[in-house]
Amino acid sequence: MMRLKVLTYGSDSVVHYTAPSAPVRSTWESCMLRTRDMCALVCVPHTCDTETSSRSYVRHRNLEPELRATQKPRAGAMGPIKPSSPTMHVTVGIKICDHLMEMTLPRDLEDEILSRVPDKSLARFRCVCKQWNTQLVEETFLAQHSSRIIRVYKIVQCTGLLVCVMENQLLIWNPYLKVTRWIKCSSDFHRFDDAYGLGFIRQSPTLRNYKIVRFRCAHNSRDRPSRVEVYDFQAGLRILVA
Amino acid sequence: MSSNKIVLTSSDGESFEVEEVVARKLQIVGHMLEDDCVINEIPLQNVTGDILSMVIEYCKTHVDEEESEEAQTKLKTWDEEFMKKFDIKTLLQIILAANYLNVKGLLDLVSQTIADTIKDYTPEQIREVFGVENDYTEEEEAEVRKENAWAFDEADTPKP
Repeated sequence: MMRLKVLTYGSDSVVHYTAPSAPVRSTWESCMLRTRDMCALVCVPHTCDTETSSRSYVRHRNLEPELRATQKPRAGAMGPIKPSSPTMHVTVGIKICDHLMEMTLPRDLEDEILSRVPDKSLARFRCVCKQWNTQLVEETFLAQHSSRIIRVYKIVQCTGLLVCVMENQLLIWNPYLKVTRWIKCSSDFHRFDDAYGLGFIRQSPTLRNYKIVRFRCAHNSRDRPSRVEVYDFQAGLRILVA
Repeated sequence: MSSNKIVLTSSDGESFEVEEVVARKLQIVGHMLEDDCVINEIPLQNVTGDILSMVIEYCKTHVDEEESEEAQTKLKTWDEEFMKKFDIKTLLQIILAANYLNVKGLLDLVSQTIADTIKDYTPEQIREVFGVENDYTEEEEAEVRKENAWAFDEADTPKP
């Protein structure tokens, strides 16, 4: 007699199943199991007569007797079993178990993953099912999602070129050309206190040399020293003016 | 540092002998040890041997988390390489295990890896991987797709 232990994620219920008949070589034992919140079709190779050897057989083929459950096992997924061909049985078994491999993640884990996915993907995932369509716009989810979004503290623009002040660096962005450049700031950088200006010197009718000016006034910055810094795009240099 | 060994047993009966400091990275084990310090074999009912061995590998590597920037960078590289080994199905099993065993660092790492993997998936691929059934009618789905049409447009990805 083979005892089968079925464990389900999402609930702690453990079901023991005892094969009704004496083991027969090269056949599959299958049974429907209902636990508190799940219904599972469990298939176990019946080639072995003890729990231990069953385990090693199953593990060897990367099948596991515990929990391979979906909410609705497909009717007829078992398929016909031909007793004359042992290899065939294994193939059938793998197929069934693969199907049953699909698992449902608990909602909190689903949110944990989806909160790390970019907006554009989320918009696409609203087509997955009705549940996701509402779940992805719920306030609790959006709060979790936005806490991972990069924060922009200030934006300065000049002729369509943007400077975005981020946590510890600046993002220079040309939305039209879809070109970005990151500038790492010196250690006394302060995202709130500093003021930024963006401008350019026209070097020829077509060539503009952009410069960023960063300015801090001691009076507005809790007595941190005043300073002016210029970033020159062409030279890629920071020049300390004062 | 204690050299006390703890045996962790998976749901399918595979046993792993690990240092107590490693086992304590699994918070579920940490709590059990606090409740009763004489345990030296712990059965973990909701995780299989294959998955448990990966969780243990992660915990062993992260057992002394040094503050230095160099050590952090090294760990980060190791994490990236470690995650590359797994397909999406395995990653989903690892996230369930990390959640059950309560290994915060691994949970964050796997969540981010899954998010990075699925971000370019189509709704059809998502349904398959997450085992979600499409309960829209054809008209309803077309409507939601239309509302979110911008997200299906591949042409606006900037080319380097």
